[in-house]
Amino acid sequence: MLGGAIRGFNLPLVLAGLIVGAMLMQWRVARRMVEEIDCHRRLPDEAFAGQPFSIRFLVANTARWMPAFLMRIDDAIVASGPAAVAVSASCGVGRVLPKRTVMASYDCLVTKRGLYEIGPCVISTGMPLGLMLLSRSITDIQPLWVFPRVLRLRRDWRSRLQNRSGGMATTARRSGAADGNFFGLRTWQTGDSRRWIHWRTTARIGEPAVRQFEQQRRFDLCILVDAYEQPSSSTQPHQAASDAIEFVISAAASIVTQMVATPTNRIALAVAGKQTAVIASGGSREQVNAIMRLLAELETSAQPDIEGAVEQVLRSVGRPQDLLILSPRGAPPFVARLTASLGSRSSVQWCGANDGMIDLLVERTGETPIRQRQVQ
Amino acid sequence: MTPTDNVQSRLNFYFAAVTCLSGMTLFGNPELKIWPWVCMIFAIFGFVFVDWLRWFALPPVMAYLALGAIAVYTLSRFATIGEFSPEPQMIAVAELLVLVQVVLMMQEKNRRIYEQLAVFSLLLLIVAAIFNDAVIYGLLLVPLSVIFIGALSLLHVYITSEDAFSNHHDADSLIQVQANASRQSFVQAARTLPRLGLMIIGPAVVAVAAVFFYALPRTNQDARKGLGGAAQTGFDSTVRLGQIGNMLSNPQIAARIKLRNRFSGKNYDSIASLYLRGTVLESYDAVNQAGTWATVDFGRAISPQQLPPPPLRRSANDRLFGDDVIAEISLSPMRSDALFSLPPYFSQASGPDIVHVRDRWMIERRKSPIGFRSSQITYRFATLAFRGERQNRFLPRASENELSMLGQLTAQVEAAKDNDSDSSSVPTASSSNETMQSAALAQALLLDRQVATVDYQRACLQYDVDLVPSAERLANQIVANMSDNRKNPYIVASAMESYLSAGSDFSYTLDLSMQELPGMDPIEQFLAIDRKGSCQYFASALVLMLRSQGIPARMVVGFSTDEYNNMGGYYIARQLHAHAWVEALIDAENVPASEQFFSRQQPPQYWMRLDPTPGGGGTDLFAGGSVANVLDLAQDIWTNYVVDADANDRRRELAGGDTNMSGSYQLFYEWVKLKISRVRAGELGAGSLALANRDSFSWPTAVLSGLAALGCIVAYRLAMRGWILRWSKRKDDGSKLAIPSVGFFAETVALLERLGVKRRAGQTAKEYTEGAARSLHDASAASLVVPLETLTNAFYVQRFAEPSQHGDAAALDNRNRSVEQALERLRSRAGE
Repeated sequence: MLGGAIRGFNLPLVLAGLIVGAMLMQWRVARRMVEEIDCHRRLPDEAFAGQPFSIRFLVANTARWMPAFLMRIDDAIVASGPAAVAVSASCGVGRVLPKRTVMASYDCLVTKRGLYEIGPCVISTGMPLGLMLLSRSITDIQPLWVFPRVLRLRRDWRSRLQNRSGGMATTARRSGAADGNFFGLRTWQTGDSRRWIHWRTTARIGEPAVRQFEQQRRFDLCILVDAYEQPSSSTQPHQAASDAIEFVISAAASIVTQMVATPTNRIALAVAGKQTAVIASGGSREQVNAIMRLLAELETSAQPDIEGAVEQVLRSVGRPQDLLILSPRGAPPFVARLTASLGSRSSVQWCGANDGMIDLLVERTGETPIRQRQVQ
Repeated sequence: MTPTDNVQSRLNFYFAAVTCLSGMTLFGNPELKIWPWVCMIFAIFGFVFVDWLRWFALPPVMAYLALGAIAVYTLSRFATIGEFSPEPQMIAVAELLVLVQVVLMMQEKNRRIYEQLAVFSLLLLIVAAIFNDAVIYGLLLVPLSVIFIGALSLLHVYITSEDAFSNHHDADSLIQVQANASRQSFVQAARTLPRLGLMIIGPAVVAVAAVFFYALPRTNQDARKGLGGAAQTGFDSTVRLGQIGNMLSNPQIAARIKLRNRFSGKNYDSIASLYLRGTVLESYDAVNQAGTWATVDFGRAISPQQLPPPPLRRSANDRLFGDDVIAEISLSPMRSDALFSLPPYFSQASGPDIVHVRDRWMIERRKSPIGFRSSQITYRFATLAFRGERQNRFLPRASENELSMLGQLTAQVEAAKDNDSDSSSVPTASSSNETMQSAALAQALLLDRQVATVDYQRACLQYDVDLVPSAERLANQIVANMSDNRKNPYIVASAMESYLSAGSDFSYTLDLSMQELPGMDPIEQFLAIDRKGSCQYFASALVLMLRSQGIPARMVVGFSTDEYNNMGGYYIARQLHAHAWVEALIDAENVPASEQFFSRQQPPQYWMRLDPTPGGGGTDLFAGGSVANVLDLAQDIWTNYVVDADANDRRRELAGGDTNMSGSYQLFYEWVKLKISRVRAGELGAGSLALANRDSFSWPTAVLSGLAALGCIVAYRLAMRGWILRWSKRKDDGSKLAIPSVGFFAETVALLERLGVKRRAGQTAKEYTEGAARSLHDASAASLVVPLETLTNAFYVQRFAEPSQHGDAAALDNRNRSVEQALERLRSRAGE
């Protein structure tokens, strides 16, 4: 080309050739790289509002010899619900060697609980000159529940619950060391305690098997969240009401998180908002996650059906020993009726946010750092 | 120092280097004087003091003010430049670009500045390419390309890191995102990126550029160097013997000649061959360079001038007047100034680009200040060269305009002489003075013109009898054979022409391998010994023979073609149509009355065209058929409107005015307009696609229809092939595979398919599940090997074993339970 230029080639044409060549190669190289990249998103197991979490991508280069460079991944985070918010998030990897997989991630901090949709993502590269971006869309939309904020429990939160409900120690003793009556065997699953492994069966079938126990239909603690929201005509500002109910939900999440840390504890969570629902937890991660999802998606109502929720609790998990009702408001008159209907063996405790009862259990500020557990 | 800062400092260096080198490419044009230095110095200064030491930086407001001042300066420069002077305009543009680069280099760099620097550097490169100084440009292009690639790669990393991976830290926002690790990863990759970009893209870009360059059918000086282009089109002022013979095997198109009636606009067809006149050569160098014809340099006396205006017609049906034809000639790129023409020609509209060389009847292009010599040229002129659809054989020695001017001068001088002799009239002192002055001027002009004419005529009589004695001998022999009453120059010239072209003594050959005899002139050798040769030999011999008899003669080189493209409605002159012929100066009284033509003033002499080559010369290698016509038209459009549509032409168009040499786009526009108007008028043109016009069958229509049908079939087949491929692929996907009859295994297959493992045709259940277990192996999740094995075994038992082998009820129950457990595992993995 140099020789040609010196010998008097048409220089604008040489220049045009170089520019066209650069554009052409840019397109070809970038397109090839994008085509050869395989990208999978990995969401965290748990994500709490106010706690940063990572969303990771496994970026695999399937090409035989060509490395991929400057791969950019643009993801979308969409908050579902009436106040839908969409945010784009970008991450990337500088280099992926052929037949290798590397991880790209971005850190995310979501300030509000709820159900979010992650995706679709677009993978693109402008390698090598950035003259154009070649992209490929991956329609992989995954749901992500952002659990409520977990607040710090006060040091004496257990004693305060014991004072009113007969004590956690009693509950533990009643459960006994055997965790219930023996029911059968099943293969081991992540989260199962090693104490439950049935070694003889494990040896026989060649993989871990655990014992299953018949769950006692009695629960140490049942928490009922009253998702009450004052009508808009009220004099109380909307933001304050919203903060109050969020505080209540966070308090419930905090207590649940703390209680399931001890395997012998049994809790049930009932919610009364737009819908009423009950979930019992025996301590497995799946069950705890189900509770947290319920709290994450809980929508407030001006007329929550608390009595209906209690009835549902009775149907689902039997008569609870202790019923802790967390509410943004003071105790309504039907609480006395409710206490009477449950009988003397169960204690009902109404903790309102406005009367400071919840504050006796949890601190309003200061979040407990949550150790992230990622899906591997 | 953040990692991005590191990238930015490298970017600063790269862009300073790009700016510096792009400025250096302007060194090719000496008119730019200090401007390349300005660009270089400020690039270095900006890098050192603004980017590196960070002593100061031009604030954005100041930069905008500076840019405004530059705009004013450039506008004032443009205002002082003439209407048609492309070079000063380009210089002003180069200055503008340099000044903008200077302002950009003085600013603190950010993404916007980098992008602008890249764009302005590229523009500077384009301007420098137009200046076309190949040596400096070629030397700088390589390092510049390398650095440009590095700069662009780093800029891409910088932009992505800054924009895409920047932290969205808005305290009030619901979702906050940051990707610091990604930025780090990009910055790390940036270390090797310029080198890598160069490695990956460099050779490929050069290859594409080379293909791009070589694939385009260009015809300029590279062609002469055998670099893949076509051969040379124009003729220089010297032509060697044998030069035309070399061109006769090349079918490349040199020119397209479109003739149309000046009034009706319809195509004008000549029924005989077209002689496209090129260079006129008067001097035969018989001593220094034997066998070389050259034009004689007469200096100012024969200087080019505007094309003569069209003469006035006496009546529309005047037979002495030629047909009114507009000729439009498109020449392939050429470097010589001499163009091709069909004299007698006249200006179609005043235009600055082509000029007329008096006496020679040659058209040349005006000297261009920048010197774009290799671009395609299209020009127009009016001509009276045809009469009754034949090209005239006789050409007036001078145009009527010139003749009338000469007449006026003569009259003026005569009148002055009469006044001098007539003593009876007593004019006033002042009027006498003026008359005398103008008479003296007229006399001087007339004398000057007469001297030039005599000089030219003398040049056309130069003949060295010692070197080529055979010419005189043969000429004398021919003249001697003629009866005395027929010995006028016209008859003599015709007889000599016939002697060479129709006689049996000489034959035409393209074999140029004849041995040159030392010490013997090639024409003498041709006339005395070889008696065979190409058109140049015949023409040279005839010129010398004519001169030996005192008849002024000259050689003309050009093209002689009868190839006509029906589709495009134009004549085609290929390289193989190159031809040499002779023009002899004959007094008007010797010219037959039927051959003469003039309007008001009869010229005293005519140049008579003589073609002494047997059979008209040339080769018939390329007999263009209808298909060739279509291809040629396509190539014409490609060449005119894609390849050779250069900036110069466009600028010339933009310079405006109805010029004789119009640009490609204007031509294209006119062509489209003409076609549309014809279609509207229901006239699809002679020899065009019209079926109903004259014949019931048209070859072009048939060819085009055939091609269209072929295209449809190919497209249909390709589409069908795509459908078949997609269909067969779908078939291979296994969606049509039979669903296993055993319920739990059908569910297993469904679950595995949901996990992305599809069963292929011909795969056994065991192969399928083992493959699935392997592909779904995940160290973090529970293994699926055992459950899949359990399910497969149970499937085999249930499907293929005899009922007696199924075992007792307990075994059945046990198997069912294990199958259920395995399915449960699979379901949980599949996310159910």
